[in-house]
Amino acid sequence: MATNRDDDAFDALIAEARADRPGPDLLARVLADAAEVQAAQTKPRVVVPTRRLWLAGALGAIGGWGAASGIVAAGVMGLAVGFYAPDEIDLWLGGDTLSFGETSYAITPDLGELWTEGDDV
Amino acid sequence: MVQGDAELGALEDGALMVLFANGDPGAARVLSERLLPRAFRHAARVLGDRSEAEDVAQEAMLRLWRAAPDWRTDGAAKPSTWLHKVVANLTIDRLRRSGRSVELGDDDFADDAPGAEARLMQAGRLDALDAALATLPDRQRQAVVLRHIEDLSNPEIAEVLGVGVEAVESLTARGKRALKAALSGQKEALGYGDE
Repeated sequence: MATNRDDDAFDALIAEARADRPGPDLLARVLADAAEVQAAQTKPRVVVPTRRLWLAGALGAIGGWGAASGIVAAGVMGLAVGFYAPDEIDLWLGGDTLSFGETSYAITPDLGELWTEGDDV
Repeated sequence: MVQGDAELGALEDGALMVLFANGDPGAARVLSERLLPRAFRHAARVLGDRSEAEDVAQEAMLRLWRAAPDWRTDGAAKPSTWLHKVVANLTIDRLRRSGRSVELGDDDFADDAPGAEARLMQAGRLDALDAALATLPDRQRQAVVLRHIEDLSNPEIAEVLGVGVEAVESLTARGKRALKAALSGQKEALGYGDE
């Protein structure tokens, strides 16, 4: 049966074990490991710039693929309406349009006039 | 940002882990001063070999440094508990590899292991303690060291050993009895002989 003195002896031995310490050399080794790991972990990462295609840049400027598809759809729709119903568009806009049925507006001098000057070609 | 010694000393271990991961050079020193003696004592008492215990403690601390970038301060294990778990696994591996492992038997402890008494007679006080601890089954030994020498709570020991809290209570109670029994005949060697 354990006596009080046995308990005291046991407690003293445990207290001695609690005070046990490693040698200073071990601390130096552990700190060297820590410095090595820390240097590797905190090394600045080299960011390699990726080449972006010009199309990606253009898409980004207008708002991405969603915006691009909207613009294309609107263009196709306008072309279709102008092609299949030019007279109605002309009517809505008070005749101020150019359709395939008209020859042209006289924005530039008629080439024919350059060729025929004074009835001479 | 590099912090001063007083500031670092006031921080908890988890916060120091985060600082270490962020490159603070003082965090490793403060953590090592706090945790390395614990890792060493745990390994030394379980293995009964100081040189081997130093290797285990160094390896466990190295794993701690490597775990720092992924360390979470919100609910993750305390670094000290995490470290004891690594030490427990490393020491169990070493004991098994070297054939020194003592498994739990029907009697739950093996205080009549051959050679234990002879070792106790010749050893110094801490060596005598290690020799007595070596007679305990591995888990009992781990539980006794963590409870009585490292002062861990039963839930912390349960986490380290991967068992339930009730099992820890049983392991520490039986382990302490077995340890006292192993030491009882060695009062002369321990310097506690009758006067």
